[in-house]
Amino acid sequence: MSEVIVVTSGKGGVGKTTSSASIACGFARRGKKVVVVDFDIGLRNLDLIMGCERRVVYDFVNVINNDCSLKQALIKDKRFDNLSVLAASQTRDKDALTQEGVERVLNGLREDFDIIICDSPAGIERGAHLAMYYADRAVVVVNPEVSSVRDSDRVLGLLASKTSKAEQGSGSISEHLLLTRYSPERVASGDMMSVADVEEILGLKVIGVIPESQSVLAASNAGVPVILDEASEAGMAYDDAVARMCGDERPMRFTELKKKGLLNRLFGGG
Amino acid sequence: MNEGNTVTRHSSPAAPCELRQGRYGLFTVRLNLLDLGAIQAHLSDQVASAPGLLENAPVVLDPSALPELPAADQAEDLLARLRAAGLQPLALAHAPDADRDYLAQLFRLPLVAAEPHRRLAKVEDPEPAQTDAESVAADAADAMSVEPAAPVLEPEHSAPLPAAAAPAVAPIGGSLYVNSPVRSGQQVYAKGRDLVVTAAVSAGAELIADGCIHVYGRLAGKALAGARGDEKARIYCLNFQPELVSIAGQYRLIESIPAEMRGQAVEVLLDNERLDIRALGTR
Repeated sequence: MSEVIVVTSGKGGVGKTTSSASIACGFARRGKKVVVVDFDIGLRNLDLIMGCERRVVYDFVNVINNDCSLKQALIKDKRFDNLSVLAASQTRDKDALTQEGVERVLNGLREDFDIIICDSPAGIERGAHLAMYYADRAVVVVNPEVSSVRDSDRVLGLLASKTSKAEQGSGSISEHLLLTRYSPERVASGDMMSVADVEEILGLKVIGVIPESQSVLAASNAGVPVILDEASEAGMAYDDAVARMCGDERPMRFTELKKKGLLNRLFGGG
Repeated sequence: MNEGNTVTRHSSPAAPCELRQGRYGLFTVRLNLLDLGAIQAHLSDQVASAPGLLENAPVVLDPSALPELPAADQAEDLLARLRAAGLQPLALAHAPDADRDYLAQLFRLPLVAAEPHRRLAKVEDPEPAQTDAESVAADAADAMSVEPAAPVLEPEHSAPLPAAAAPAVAPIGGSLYVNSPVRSGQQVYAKGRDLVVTAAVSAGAELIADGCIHVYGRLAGKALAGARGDEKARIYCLNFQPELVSIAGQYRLIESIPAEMRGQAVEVLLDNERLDIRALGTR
């Protein structure tokens, strides 16, 4: 039974692509057959984060236009045999996506993969709409600040009303809230919203809290999803989140202000 | 705390609330000609083009650009046609001072001083003291969402039309039940009946009912009861933190809601045409 998971947020720059890449790797590491699809047509990024940008020959739009087969467009990850990437087109725009085309491609992917991760573009227009339309599950990425929370609220409303499941009345999408770029220090000093604040406003429990971390930027630039950096707190937090998505129970880490020891103070955490 | 912010009180352009009005999704219909058929056709098209946004949207009428005052039967017909087009006329704005009372009586609508264009012009005034960056941004965003609903009617040949009397719509009883969260950008309208929401209503969401509104989650959005003028409609809420509450067009913004009522269980009702907010369970 395959599952389509959309990673979305409304607001840009909150960590959708970073999260998509890490969640995809997390599922792959657990032995699932995973494909991650970049819906951000025209602003192709996922291939960079996944480190496969030099191997993009055909893309999502080519498949929709029947320029190539689905198999030709899928890029196999070098780290996991059971992980593939379907890149976005850099030269087209969101209008190149058609509802029938997206449905056809996703149905094709459902035959070969357990988990299909749709990396949504920012906004609530066509690209984002189509990324969420056929989803079974949604990961709503939110930063602990008011505008991101409001946009996530809007997106949660759309997930509950403007998706295939909602429109056909065939059940509802299960929603996960993923809080990223969290800084317990700034929460303690009062200039960042806490986990509890975000949960109260959105009426949802978080599935994971990813701490703000230097290693995320380093991992992005290196083309290695941060979840694979097992020394970093962000990587461990992503692994926790994927474990919870699989039904495991894990205590929430990295959400409390930690007392820094001497070594930590000297060398910094991270 | 009983100081009702009745809309008529804000009719002076210098009223401090003017800048904020229009932020709350009350679209404006600016009337240029009394060509009722053309108005209805134009508005129907607008609603059809964006039903999610406009269907049953509360609107404010702006008659200031009309070359002549409508007659009583024309006013009735106009309201009926707006409703037929799928809009909910809620109030009048920008009636010329001399005709204000006449128009208010004619349309039987409360008067407001709300208008996005004017408000935005105000923002550009050399007196930006009251507008922090965030409220300007919010205003701009709202002005955009208002755009499709504030059509400028094309001047066309006006022909006198037979006036069809608007059927008075009375609540038909029953309730509309909503058991899932009403989130930012969503609108729920209980036509001709009460609205019961058992989940939370987020900031930026909008509840409209021709009857009463009951909210058992946190109310952080807008709640407009008695949308067709039922002054007996009430709003009940267990966790009261709304952006705006309105009954039969009389409204209050969050800023004029007493701080001690925030987060409380309250009842909102019209008492002598003043919007009153009372704590529940204290009597």
